[in-house]
Amino acid sequence: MAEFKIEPFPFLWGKERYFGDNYLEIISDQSIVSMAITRGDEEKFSTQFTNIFGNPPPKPGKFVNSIDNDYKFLWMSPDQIFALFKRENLYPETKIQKLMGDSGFYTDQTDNWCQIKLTGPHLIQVFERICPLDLNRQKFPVGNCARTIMEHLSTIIVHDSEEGFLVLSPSSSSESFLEAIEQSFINTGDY
Amino acid sequence: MFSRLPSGGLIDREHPIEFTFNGKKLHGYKGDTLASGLLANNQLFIARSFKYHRPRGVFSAGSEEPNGMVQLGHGKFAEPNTKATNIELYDNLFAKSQNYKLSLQYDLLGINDLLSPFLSAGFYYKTFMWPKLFWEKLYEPVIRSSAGLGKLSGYPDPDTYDKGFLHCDILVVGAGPSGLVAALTAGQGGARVILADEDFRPGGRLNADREEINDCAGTEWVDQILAELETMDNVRLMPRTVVFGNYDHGIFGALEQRPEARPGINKKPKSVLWRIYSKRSIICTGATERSIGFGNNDRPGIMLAGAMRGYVNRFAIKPGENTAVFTNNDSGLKTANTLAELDVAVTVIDTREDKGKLNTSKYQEFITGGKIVDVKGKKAITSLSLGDGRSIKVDSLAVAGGWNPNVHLTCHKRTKPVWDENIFAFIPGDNLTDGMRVAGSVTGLFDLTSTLNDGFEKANDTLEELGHKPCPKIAFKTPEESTELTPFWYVKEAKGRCWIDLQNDVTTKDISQAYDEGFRDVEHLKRYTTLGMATDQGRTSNVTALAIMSEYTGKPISETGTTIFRPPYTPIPIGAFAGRSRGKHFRPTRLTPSHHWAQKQGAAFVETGNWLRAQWFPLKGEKHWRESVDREVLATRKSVGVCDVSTLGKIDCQGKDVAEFLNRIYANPFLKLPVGKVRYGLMMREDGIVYDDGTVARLDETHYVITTTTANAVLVFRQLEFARQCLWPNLDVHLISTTDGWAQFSVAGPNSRALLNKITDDFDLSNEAFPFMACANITVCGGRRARLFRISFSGELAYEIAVPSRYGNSMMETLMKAGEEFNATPYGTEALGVMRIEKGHFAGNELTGQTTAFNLGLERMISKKKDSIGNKLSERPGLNQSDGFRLVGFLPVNKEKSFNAGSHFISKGKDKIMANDEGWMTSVAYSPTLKHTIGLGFIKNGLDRMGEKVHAVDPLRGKNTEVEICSPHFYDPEGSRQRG
Repeated sequence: MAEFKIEPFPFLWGKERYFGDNYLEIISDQSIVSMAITRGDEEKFSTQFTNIFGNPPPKPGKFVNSIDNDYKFLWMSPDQIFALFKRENLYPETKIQKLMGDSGFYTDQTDNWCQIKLTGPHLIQVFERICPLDLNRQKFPVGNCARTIMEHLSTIIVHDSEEGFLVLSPSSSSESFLEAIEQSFINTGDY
Repeated sequence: MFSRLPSGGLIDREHPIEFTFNGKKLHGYKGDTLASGLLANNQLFIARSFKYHRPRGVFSAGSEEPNGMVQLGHGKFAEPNTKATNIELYDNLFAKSQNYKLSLQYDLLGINDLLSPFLSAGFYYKTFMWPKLFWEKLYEPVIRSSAGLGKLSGYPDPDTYDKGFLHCDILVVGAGPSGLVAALTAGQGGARVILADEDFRPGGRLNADREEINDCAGTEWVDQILAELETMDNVRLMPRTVVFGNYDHGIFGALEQRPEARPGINKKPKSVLWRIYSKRSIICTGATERSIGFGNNDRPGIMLAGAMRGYVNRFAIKPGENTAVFTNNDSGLKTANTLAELDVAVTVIDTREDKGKLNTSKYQEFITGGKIVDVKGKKAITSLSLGDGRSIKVDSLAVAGGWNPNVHLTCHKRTKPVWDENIFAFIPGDNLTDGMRVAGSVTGLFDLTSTLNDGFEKANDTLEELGHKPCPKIAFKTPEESTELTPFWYVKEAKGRCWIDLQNDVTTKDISQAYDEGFRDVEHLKRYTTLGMATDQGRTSNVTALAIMSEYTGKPISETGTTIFRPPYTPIPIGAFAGRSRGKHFRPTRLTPSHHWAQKQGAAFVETGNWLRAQWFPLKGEKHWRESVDREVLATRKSVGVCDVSTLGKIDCQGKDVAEFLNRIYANPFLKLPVGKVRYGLMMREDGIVYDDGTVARLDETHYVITTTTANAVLVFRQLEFARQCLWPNLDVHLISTTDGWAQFSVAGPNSRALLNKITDDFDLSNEAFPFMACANITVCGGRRARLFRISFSGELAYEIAVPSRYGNSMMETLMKAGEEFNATPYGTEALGVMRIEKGHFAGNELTGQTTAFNLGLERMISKKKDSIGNKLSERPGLNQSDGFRLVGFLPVNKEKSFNAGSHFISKGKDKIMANDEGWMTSVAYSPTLKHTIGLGFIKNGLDRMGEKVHAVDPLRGKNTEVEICSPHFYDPEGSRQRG
C-alpha cells in the first residue's frame, strides 16, 4: 500500500449560514448515483425498482423516496434517475448496482454536484431572483423536482419538504452558485 | 404664479420633504413627484430643449414627458435624463437641470434658437461640407461638445440592480379603473394575477379626476379595491413597475423601481428587471393626451390639460390666478371645470364652433371657434394672443388635443394598430396574440362607465378561457360623461413656430419641409426630422405629426400609418439590463479541483472559457513568465511535472451498444477496442470537417470514458446526445458528464512512473503490465478510488491519474510531496502548450471549423470499412486536393529570430500581398528544449515542401521572418519517450 494519504475537501465546506430565519446548509454526506435504464428493460427495471425500494420509479418532474426513506430518487429524463442516499464509501454506484442487477447502468455522480439545502420562510422571494421556474406551491409542490438554469449554471431543484428545497449545481462552479444564492438573500431581505 | 393649495390632494402633508433643485432647497410632501414638487414651488422653467436650447417646463404628468428631464443625484450617483414627472420625491433628493452651457438661466447655446433658420430638419445633411479640413478640426468637436442629452457621471455605476422571474395566469398591465376592475375580477375568479403599474400610486386617471364611483370619491374607490386585492394571496400588486416590452409566448419585460434603494443609502438593488411569464394578459394601459400646435406653444407654464387637472387634484397645486384652456374636446372642459372650482379666472378657447347647452357662466370667458396664434413669456408664459388679435394675460395654459390610446405593448409583436375615426386616434389591432386582451381607454373607450365595464368583461372572458368560473356582474354607478372631440391639429395662422415634438424640437415647418423634400413616408419623416425619437418616443406628438403629414399628402391618416413600436415602452437603464452581472457576478467561474493549492503557490491564472486554470507557477526570483514556463518544460522533460487537466471534458458512456455507437461517432474504428485500452479518436461533423478529438478508454465490457478538449466538452456532449436520441435511438447507450466528478492530473516525464509507484496501491506500472495507451480502475493512497490512463500530450512517458474531485486538492499536494525526491514540478497551461507544440499535437488553434482530417495529415484515420458521421462528405474532392493546406512545422532560419501566430506564408521572391498568401501560422512557442522559436501552421502542399524556406509575414506587427518548413514533430518524432 502507498505510504501517502489523500483527504477529501468537500465542496463549499464551512459555508453554512443563516439569513434571518432561513438556513443555508451544505450537504456533504450524500451520495448521488445516476441510474440509466437499459433499453428494452424498462419493465424489468421498474419491477425490480419497486420490489427493492417499495415504491415505483418517479414520474416525470417528480421524486420518490424509498419506503424506508433511505433513498430519494429524482426523475431526470425518460431513461435516467438520480439516486440520493447517505454516503458510505467511494463506490456508491456499486451499492445500487448490487440492488438493481443488470437492468440498468450506474454512474457515481456525487462529486459532480454541490448540494445545498435551503430552508425557511423567505425562499420563494430568493428564488424569484435566479430561478426561471414557477415555484408556487400549487405549481411546484413538495414531491417535485426539475432541471433548470440559475445564473447560467445548470441546476437541479428538488422541493423535498414543506420547509425548503434541495438544490444541486455542478461542483466546479459551486462557489459562483453559492454567491448567486447569497446575493439573492441579500437583495431580498435585511441580512 | 403656481403655488400649493392649502388643502386637498393625495399628498401626505404629515410628511414634508426637503429636496434640492439647481442648488436651491425646496419643500414638498410625501406623495409628490419631483415635477409636482417643483411646480408647487413655482419652478416652471426647469429645462432647456435639445436642439434650440429653448426654456422648457413640465408638460405632462407621466412617462410621456418630453421636456422635464433632469440629472438626478450627484457625483458618481448622477443619472441623466430622468423624467421629473416619474421621480417619486424623497428626502434629500438632489436634482439639477441639464443641457445648457453656463447656467439654466443664461445658456450660451441659446444662440441656437436665433440660428434656427439654418438648423431646420436635416440641416446636417446639407451643411459642414466645406472646407473639408474644417470637419475634423472644427465641426466635429463643436457638434460633439454641444450634442447629447445630459451627461454621464463618468464613474462606474455605484448602484446595484437585480433581475428576476415571475409567473402568473393573468398579467394586468395598468392599474387605472379598467385595470383595477380586471385584476379584482380575475383575482376573485381564482386566477393568479399580477397587477403592474408604472406609477407609485395605483389609480390611473382616478387620481387626477374627481369622478365618483358607487357614490364615493374615485380615489377612495381605488383605495377600497387595493385593500381588497391586498387580501388575496393569488394577486401580486406591483406599483412602480413599468411593463416595457411584450415578447414571445406571453413573456413580458417589466422594471420595478425599489423605493428602499436611494443613492448612497444602502446596497439594495435600485430596480429589479422582471421577466413575467403570463398565460394571458389584459392590457389596460390607458391613453396619453396630445397637444395642439400653435405659435410658441412650448413656453414653460403650458401643459397638457389632463396633466394640469392631475396637478390640481392629486398634488394640490394651483396653476396661477389667471389660466386658460385651449381645447378641441370635452376632456379639456373637464380641466376648465376643475380650475373654475378653484379661485382662478379661467378662459376657455374651444376650437369647436358650437358650445351646445354647456353652462359657461363659471368661466371668465368661453370662446368658441377660437385659436391661439402666439404665446408670450420666454421663461414662463405671460399672455396668449388669439386669432382675432386679442391678448389675454395668463399664468398657465392647459392644452387638450385629444387622447391617444397607449397601444405600444399590443404592437411589439408587429400587430398593427388601426385608425379609429370615432376618437381620431389609433387603437389596438384585432389580431392580438398569446392570449392578450385590451380593456379600458387603450381600446378607445374614454368614459368611466365603459372603462370599468370593459375591465370586468375582459377579465371574465379571460377567466373562462383559463377554465375558471366567471364572476357575477358588478354594477358601477358613475356620473355621465361626454367625450366628444372635433379634430384640430394645429393653428395654421400661428405666429412663430408651432412645436409638435417638444423633445426633439420638431415644428410644423420641419414636417412641411420633409414633405417638400420627399420624406413623406412615416418612417422617413421620423428619420429626417427626428420626430418621435429619444426618451419619450413621441408619445405626445406622433399622431399630430402624422395628421399634419396626412394633410399635406392628401392621404387619410389610416393610410399614412404609424412608425413601428418596439420595446422598451419607456427608457430602461442599461444597468437594469445587466442586473447583477458585473464584477464577480459577470459570469460563473469554474475552479479546478487543485485551485486552492495552486493559489497558495502563487500561480498565475488564465480564463479558459469559464474555467480558471493555473497558467504557470512562478518561483521566487523569476521576473518574466517565460522564465517560469521554460523552467517547467525543462523540469518535466528532465524528471517529472504535474499538471491539473481536470478541465478536459469527461463523458461516461455505458450500455450494450456503446462500441457500435462510438464506431459511428468517430472516424476511426472502435468496435474492437479491448477492455483496459485507450484509443485516440477523431470526430467529424456531418460535412466532413473535424469537430473535436480526444481519447476513449474502455474500463469494462460496457463502460467507456470519453475525453474531449476543454473548449468542446459541452458541444461534444450535445452532439453525442443528438446522435443517441435522434440518429440511433435504438442503440442502448447512456451518457452522462463526469467532467466535474473527477480530478485528473497529468504526471509527465521520465520519472512519472517512479512517482506514481509511490502513491498507487500495489499496481504494476511497468511497461509490460501497463503499456502506452492502457487504462485501469485502481486505488491510490491506501484504498482511495482512482482511474489511471497511460496517455501523453507532452510526448514524455506520462500518465493521467484521476480521483474523485473532492480529493483533487489533496491529490495535488500528495503528488508534489511524493515527487520531492524527483524535483517534481507543477506546470501550467503555458508549459502544457509549449510541450504539445514541441510534440506536434494539434489543438483548438488548429481546429478552425474549416479544418479537415486531410489538412491535419490524419486522412488515413478515416476508416473506409465502416460508416461514421462525416465519413462520406470528407471525401469531397475540394477537401482533398493534393495542393491543399497541410499542417507542418516551422522553424526560423536564423535561430535568434522569432515569429508570431497569425503570420501568413509567402514564397520567397514573391510580393507580400494577399494574392500570394499560401497559408498561416496557427501556434507558436519558444521551445526551451530546442532553444529557439517553433511553430505549427497550414501551408499549401506542405508535406512536399520539407526544407523549403518561406517568409512568415506579420503585417499587423510589421514582422517578416524567414522560416523553414519541417515536420510538425519537433521532439522525439519516433515516440520512443512516451512508449518507454
